[in-house]
Amino acid sequence: MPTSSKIFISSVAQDAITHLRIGAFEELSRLGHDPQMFEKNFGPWPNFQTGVDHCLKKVSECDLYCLFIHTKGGSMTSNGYTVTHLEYLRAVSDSKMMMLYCESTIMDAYFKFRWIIAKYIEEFKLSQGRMPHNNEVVDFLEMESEKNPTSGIPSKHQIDTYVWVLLHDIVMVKGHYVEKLSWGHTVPWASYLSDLLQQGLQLLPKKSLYEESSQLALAFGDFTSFAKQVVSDHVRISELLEGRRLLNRSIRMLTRSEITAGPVNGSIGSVKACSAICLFHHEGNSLTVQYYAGDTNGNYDFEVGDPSSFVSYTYNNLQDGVPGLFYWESRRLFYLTYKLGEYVISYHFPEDTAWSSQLYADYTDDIINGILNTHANGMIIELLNSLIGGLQK
Amino acid sequence: MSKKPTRLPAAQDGWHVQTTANALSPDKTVIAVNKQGTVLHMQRNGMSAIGKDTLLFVPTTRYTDNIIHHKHQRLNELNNTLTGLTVEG
Repeated sequence: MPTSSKIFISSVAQDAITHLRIGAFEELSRLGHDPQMFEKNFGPWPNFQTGVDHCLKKVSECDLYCLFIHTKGGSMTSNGYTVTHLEYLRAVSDSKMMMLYCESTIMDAYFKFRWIIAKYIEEFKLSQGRMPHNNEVVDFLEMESEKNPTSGIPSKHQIDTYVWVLLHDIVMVKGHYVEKLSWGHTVPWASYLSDLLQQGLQLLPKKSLYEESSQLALAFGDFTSFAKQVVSDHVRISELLEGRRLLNRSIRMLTRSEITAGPVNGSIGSVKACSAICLFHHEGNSLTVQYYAGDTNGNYDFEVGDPSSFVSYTYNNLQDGVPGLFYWESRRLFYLTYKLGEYVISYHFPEDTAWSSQLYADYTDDIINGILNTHANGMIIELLNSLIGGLQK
Repeated sequence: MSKKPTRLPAAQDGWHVQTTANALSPDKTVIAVNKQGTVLHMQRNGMSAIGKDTLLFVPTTRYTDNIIHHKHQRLNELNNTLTGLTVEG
């Protein structure tokens, strides 16, 4: 007996989209699936569970979650979310496959003023030190809609304000794709589900490979973590043999990075693979180069108090182990530096896309995160930094 | 449908996020060192006058973290999720 896919049909109960919901239920049933819809087959309602809990359990049980957004916000619960929003959040937390639809004029309106919501949330976070509650966003949007008719925010009498809160959470916070659905159109279920089947069929034959890959990754993860602890806690390093070669090997391992920022990780630019590494040691009044490798004429020592040197700045101002990022627009180079006790190490990363002083200033943390989170960059830098730390025990 | 990769068309060239960041961090402190070694502390909004041959530094808000440990934790989480995945039939 084949097992049917459970498809949860979520939306606010409103007359305007009843035809869409009923049509979806009937078409999905005809195609042999098991659609789940509040007014059709959610019963029996257990008396030991609240209605909301029962709906959320149904989301957890489904294989595919489908949401229709129209002009109504839905029933508000005591925790400040509508039931529909909670269902969506449950689908997110359970990593469900999702198909999200919004009536096209509502979606168009949202994209015109979404920046107003984003700006309000960011300013609220800065001034209050917390995220605004949903009802605070709703209050703000209602006031803004009345106060400033050119803002493009529709009146709450046309479209429930909570619809914007839900859309904002889906599009900007979670970064999920919402498909526009024009009034009177229906979802071509058969072809869409065939598309999903096609994707699934590509993965299923490789299931055992993925499981093996996952087990191997875990084994290497355990080993790496253990090796790092051993190096940090149980080994005293007297010297680095062939230090220049070690730096050269490290350079070859540090790869090109995509730099992204914002709630949906929009691309800002990219940074080339590491081009040079220099290691300095504090001796007397000088930061003396110990080893250098790669594309640099870095055989320079710096005075500890030299105000124009990023090496001296790192030694004097950065906390141990905290990365600092310097940028020199005319050289088209980023310098990622660390103070490690009496050592300073600098990793040089050339620009890939065009950067500017302004972009650097706006996205400093994102550039550092982008470099460290790419492939094994962060782990390699951490290992090298640990070795240099081990020299000083 | 869900295969479409685009979510925020305006962010494709960094323009949207760049302007957003500008609006949100006009007071960010930037440390600039010019060719003569003069150190200037300026705000993000006052940067337009500085030359390209200037070394720049912005203090990071990033704290020291243990990247290997974080990646290992994440790997454990992912593996636990995958171990629970069974396909019937």
